[in-house]
Amino acid sequence: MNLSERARSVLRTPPPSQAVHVVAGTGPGVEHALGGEWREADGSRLFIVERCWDARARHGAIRVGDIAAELSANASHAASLGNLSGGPAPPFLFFDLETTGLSGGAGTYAFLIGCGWCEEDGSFRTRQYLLAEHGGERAMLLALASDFSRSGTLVSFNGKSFDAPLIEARCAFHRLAWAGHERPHLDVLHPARRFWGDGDCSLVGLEAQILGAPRSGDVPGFEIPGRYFQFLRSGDARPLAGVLEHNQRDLLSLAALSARLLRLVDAGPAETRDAREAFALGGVSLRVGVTGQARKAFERAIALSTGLPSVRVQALRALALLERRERRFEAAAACWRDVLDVPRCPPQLAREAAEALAIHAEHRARDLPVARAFALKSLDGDARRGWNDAVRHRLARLDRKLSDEASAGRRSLLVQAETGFDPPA
Amino acid sequence: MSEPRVRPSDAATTTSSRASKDVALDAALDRLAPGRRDPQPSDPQSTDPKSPAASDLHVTAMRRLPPADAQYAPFPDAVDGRLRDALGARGIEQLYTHQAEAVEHALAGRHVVVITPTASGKTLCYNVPILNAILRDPSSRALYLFPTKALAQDQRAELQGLCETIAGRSGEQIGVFTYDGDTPQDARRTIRARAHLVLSNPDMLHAGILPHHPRWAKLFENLRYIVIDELHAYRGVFGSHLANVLRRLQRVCRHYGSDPVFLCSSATIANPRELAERLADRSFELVDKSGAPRGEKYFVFVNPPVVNHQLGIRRSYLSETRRIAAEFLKRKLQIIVFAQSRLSTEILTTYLKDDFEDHPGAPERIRGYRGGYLPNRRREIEKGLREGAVRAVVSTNALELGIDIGALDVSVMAGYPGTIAATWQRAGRAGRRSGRSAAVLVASSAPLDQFIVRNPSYFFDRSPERALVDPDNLHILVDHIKCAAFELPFAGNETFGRHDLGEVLAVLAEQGLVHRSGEDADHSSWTWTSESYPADAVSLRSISSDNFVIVDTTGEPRVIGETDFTSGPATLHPKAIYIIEGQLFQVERLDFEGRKAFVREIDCDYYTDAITYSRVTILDTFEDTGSHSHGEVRVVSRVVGFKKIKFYTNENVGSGELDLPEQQMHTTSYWITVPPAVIDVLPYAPDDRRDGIVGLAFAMRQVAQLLLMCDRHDIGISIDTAEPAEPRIFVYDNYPGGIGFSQPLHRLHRELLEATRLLIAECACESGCPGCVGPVGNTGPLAKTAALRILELLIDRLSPGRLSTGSTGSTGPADAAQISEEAMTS
Repeated sequence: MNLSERARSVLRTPPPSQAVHVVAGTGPGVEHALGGEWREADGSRLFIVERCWDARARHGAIRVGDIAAELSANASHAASLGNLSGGPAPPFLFFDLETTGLSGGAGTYAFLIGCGWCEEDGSFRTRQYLLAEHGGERAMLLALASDFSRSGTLVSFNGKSFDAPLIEARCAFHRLAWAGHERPHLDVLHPARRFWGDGDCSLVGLEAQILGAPRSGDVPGFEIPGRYFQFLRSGDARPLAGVLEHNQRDLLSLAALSARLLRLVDAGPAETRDAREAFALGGVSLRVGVTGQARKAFERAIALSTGLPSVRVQALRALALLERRERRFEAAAACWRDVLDVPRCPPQLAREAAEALAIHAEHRARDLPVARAFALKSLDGDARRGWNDAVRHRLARLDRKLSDEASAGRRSLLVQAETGFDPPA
Repeated sequence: MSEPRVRPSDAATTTSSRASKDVALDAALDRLAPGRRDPQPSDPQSTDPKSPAASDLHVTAMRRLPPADAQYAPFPDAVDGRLRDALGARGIEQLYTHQAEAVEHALAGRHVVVITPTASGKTLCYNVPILNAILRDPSSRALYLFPTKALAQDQRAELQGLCETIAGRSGEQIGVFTYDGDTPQDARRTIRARAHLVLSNPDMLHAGILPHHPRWAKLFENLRYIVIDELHAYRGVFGSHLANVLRRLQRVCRHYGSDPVFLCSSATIANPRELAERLADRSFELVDKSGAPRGEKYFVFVNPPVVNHQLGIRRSYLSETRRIAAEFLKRKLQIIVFAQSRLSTEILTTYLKDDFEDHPGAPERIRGYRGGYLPNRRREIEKGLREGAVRAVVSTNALELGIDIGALDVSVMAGYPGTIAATWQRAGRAGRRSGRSAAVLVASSAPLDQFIVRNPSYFFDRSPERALVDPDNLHILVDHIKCAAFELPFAGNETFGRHDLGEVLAVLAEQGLVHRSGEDADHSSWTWTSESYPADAVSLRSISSDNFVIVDTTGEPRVIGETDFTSGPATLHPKAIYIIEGQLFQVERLDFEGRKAFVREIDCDYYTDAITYSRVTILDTFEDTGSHSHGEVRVVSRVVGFKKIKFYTNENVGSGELDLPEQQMHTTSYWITVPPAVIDVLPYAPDDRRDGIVGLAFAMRQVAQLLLMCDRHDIGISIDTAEPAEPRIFVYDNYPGGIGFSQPLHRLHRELLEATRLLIAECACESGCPGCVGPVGNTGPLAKTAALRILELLIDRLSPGRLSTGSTGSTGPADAAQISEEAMTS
């Protein structure tokens, strides 16, 4: 056996049949298939595809021009949507990668980097860098860094855990500084989960559900690396056209979702369409310290939550905590009681409510038997050890107080007997 | 351990307590072997195994190893004052000569391998140049590789101590971190940013660091030194993998522009420099003369007496070990007992606890120690040993490597550790820099044990084993080429190992794993084009990722272990006894296609040994002398049955038949051909001749294992009697593709035959036993006689006068002389 045959036997792979031999370069080239252009940069060539959506075009229920308008009008609210270092500032730069896999590590790289932004005239423009030949990655990263440097805030979908670390690693690979560190970065995945997290929280799912722009003929994500590898082997770029379109559409929808989120924050509870949105808005308002709006949002969430017990308990709890923080103890207690009334209330919330009510009864309402009843209710066999220890501690104190009270009562009876007065009925 | 030159505790150990220990040790040794310690102890007379011992034990050897004084050298001038100051504060004012020599090489940028007896201060050999480099340039980084996580933890504690002294005295902060599978995810980023010294293991480097090298860019850019501790651990499959991991490491270093210096330390093996050079693919300096002081040591070989001559059955070596340990323990000496398995560790611990612990709840003075104990318990035992509260520890090889347990008085080995190197390592666990210590080897009835204990000079007067690796085994190489391509694209003109890289990459391209761009070699490159993460599918401790999992169905089904594909049928066939952590399981069903064995817990007093029929076909002969050859072969094997073997006595207590699928493997093999000229002069019937060949093969396997420094499972044996007039015996590498045993064995042909003859001739049994040609019943009554006769004839044909047939016996004449001398003295 020669080396190739031995290697094949090690890999348990049959020798290739002649038919699968594809001669590179037989298909149409990238320019022809994808419509972009080559640009010389950093000693190598870079393939770039740009696309522009007119301001008057529609993306589902929304006009492209409105996306730009909302984004620019409500930009200052971005800080409330995410953990942004530095003050978020326009312009927003949306970005999204298509990679050769999800496993991470030096062998996973982005073959397509898409950026998107709104132009002055309200149109939306995407620019995509395609790794169309070996050795172009460095130039691509440098071009991306220059795009980043012109932006005020980076916006991505799951980019904090995936896209940004991946570009950072690729920059480290090429000994380049990673420009993303200095910019505020809004990852829309997290607020999207809070506002719309009930159903399909993928970008494509939200696009249909929130933007009313369902996709058809989209390339599914799992096919994407394979299409790129196919292009590398055959030189035929046509399978990539769908991938580029998928990426462009992701960018546009990302912009539209961001605009919708900022609009909600700006317009307040009245704009919210359902209990979940209202509840999420309450959380966002609370985070930036607008407690008045937070209270209204939670109240709206509770009002809209018929048939949504999971949102209802969360909203009631949030409101209860807010009321207690503002020392409106009776209002807080009312919320906690409502929590206990929600059918199939999760046990950890039920015991938290019972505990809060026990505290309220003991220290505010000064009704020890009621406090004892709630304390008993807050015992939970499934809770962690420390929880039940604390409850037992509370119960012991309540029993002590109750017995003190009882003996005080007996003393007063004695006094009555000696003085000859009848006890009050 | 890099111990301070003058330890306060050493000074505290007053001369009188030292002397009283020496007296106690002498008394115990006299009890074991009366009158054997006194005369000129290094006199060969005293090791004569035939001299009748008055003791009830059969002591086959008693050697005295003389004490040695320390030899010091000053710190090389280039060593930074701050480091010298910190070392001085820890009691180290000068270096031993070997440390100074190693430090000089390292400072000059030369790769170095240091041979280090236990407690000779090996860590200073690499810590001095590395800390020096960091003090001179704080951006410098170093990577330490240890074969186990426990060793890395142990070293971290020591390094941190030294770095704290440096920080306390000069304000320089040096970050020391371990990075392994136990490192929490959220700590990893900090470590990547802050660690000057990263302490890890090859498995983590392979699957966790190299594939993510961009995150480690800072480390790789500034990597000045790579430490490989316990170099001798990297032999066979593990070593062959490590060599490839180091090839990948060096590619990544080149990418980031660094060229680190390798600093290795090894226990005494025959070929430390060759091993280092094979593993790291660089030229190394060797430092092998220790300047560390050494106390006097006695080394005793004990063979439990035969209780059944006919079957060659000896008294249990575990009971013998218990008695010997007791002799030392009752004289208040601190001891370590090495057992061969987790099971025997637990048995011996129980025995000694029964003998020496007063009542439950009293402080535990006798402890067990093995893999599977939780880290906290291990730390507690190690501390108890250092402080003297623990008087005896019974351990598997887990304590053979350099975990700091202080220096004990006596090391007792229950069974031969398998290699000369490991035996010295274990013996080294006893012994201080001054004062007397002892090491006792108690032989089991296993053939290797019997050979060693009956031929003490084989152990004492010969260099230890060679560690062999084959980094270019295609099965291993191809896996690492995948990993390397994942890490960095291959340039068209790059090399990786001995084989033509382009040809291998082209096959990977057929699978779609890589893609070649550019046409000519100088301007093309191969890029990884797959979604997979190849390192996940490669285990450094085995050769193929295909394996069987073992499912325990005693209660709720759960996976309790795995076994590589090759050894699956032989160890997991139906009714096989599977042992893990001393617990016995019986295989109820083997799902061959699904690669699962379903087992249930069982209580029995036997284990099983599979009967495998194998057929070897020669594919390619690399070297042929007429009498012996080596080359590439195909091994077709099938497990056809099994024997039930009683624990300890190795009695055959039953058997069964099996019908399992055939397995095929391409590997390398060494083989001997018994020529018609030998067969024809044998005065036996054909069946007896055949028995002789079978017995010879059985014994050869044991000796081959001894010569190759390998495990029993590493080699396989097969007999080809298709041509009865010219039978062949194959000793093959039991790994697909071979692991490099065959060529050395071919070179050691004469030694193999001579030692096999000794093994058989020296055996006290009448006509065969498990200690030589195999148990009677396996072979016929004449197996032993016939095997010996064949061997004598074969050796005779090798003698110089007969070397006229153009064959090139590759054994040196010096070796031959040594062997025949030995044969005469025995």
